[in-house]
Amino acid sequence: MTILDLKVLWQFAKILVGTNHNVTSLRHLKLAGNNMGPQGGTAFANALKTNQTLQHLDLGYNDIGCEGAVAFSKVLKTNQTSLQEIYLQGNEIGMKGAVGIGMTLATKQSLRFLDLTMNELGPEGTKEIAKGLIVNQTLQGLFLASNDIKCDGAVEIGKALQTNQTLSRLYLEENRIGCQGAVAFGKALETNKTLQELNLYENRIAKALETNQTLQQLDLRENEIEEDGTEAIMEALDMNETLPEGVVEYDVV
Amino acid sequence: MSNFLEEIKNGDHGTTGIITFEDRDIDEEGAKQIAMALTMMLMDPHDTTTTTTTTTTARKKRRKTTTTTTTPIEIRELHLSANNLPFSGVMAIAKVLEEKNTTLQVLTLSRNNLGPEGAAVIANVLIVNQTLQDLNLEHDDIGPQGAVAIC
Repeated sequence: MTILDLKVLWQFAKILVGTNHNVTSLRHLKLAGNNMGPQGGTAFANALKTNQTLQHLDLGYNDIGCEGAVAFSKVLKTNQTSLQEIYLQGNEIGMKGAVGIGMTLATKQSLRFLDLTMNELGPEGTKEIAKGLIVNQTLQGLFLASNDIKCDGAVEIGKALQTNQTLSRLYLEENRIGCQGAVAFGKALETNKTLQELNLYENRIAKALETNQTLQQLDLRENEIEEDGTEAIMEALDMNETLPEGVVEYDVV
Repeated sequence: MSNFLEEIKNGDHGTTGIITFEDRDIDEEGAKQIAMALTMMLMDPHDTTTTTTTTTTARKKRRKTTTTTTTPIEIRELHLSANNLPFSGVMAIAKVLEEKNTTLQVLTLSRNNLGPEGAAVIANVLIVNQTLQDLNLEHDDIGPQGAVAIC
């Protein structure tokens, strides 16, 4: 990064979110895909300290990394801002970055939408997010697709859903949550009263059956599983070596 | 060559208050025309009243026709995605937003390779302009390409 670029970036961030003047009219700012890097992310985070108007900030695909995420966490945790929606998809935030974001969720009670799609959170990072989710009372939408959450992460999210009272949309596509992860959600949904949309697309729930060694009986009747879902389950059962033939029950919608 | 000003005048922009040109390779001249449109009130083609006054003189009848619009529409949104806007074009639009137009609320300049300089020009608009609420500069090469920090 040249010094000139960095200067422009800082000025840009400062002006945009109104630190150079008292009032700015800007509510929505979309800057996805601009390769701003950690410095750019930090610049915007710091600029938010004094801003009272911005409600929606999209910094997706900017490689802000762990450093940028930490900067946002710090600023959002300690400053009163007007921000309600923050989109940080595809930023390589990672597990360490998730720690700060989880803590922000626990203390910051104004965020309504958080997009962390494709951020390499892993099961450990997801656990940190889940911690925040337990006490958070404002978040309505959480996007965690493609984060390699796996079974362990899904179990934590499932637990959080048992106490969380506000989340209505949860996206967990492509996370390999597997069979146990799905079970955790099943349990959570027994008590959760707010979730309206739960996306578990491509999560190897059926795939888990292929290698499962312990399951003796599986009843999937009355689940409104559609035809392709049933096919996936049947394929998985062909591979499964321990589940006795004929004990899996399911019906097709 | 496209005449954007004519397109705007003749299109339905006067009804919607929304100007959209995407993937049109707008050059400096085109950007200037669009900038000029931002300074005008657009007439709603569906909402015109024609008044005809007839005056009788001693020798001949003179017919005078005037067209007036009852509700001129303000331009509220400008969407110019993927137009390869030159820096001079960005300057033209920024200048109008700084000095004249106070009705635009939504500005989309995504996928135009603005670079840091172009983005800074737009950023500067916000110092004086107090009506713009929604700014989209996605995929505009604002930040530097280069090394990715991995923690």
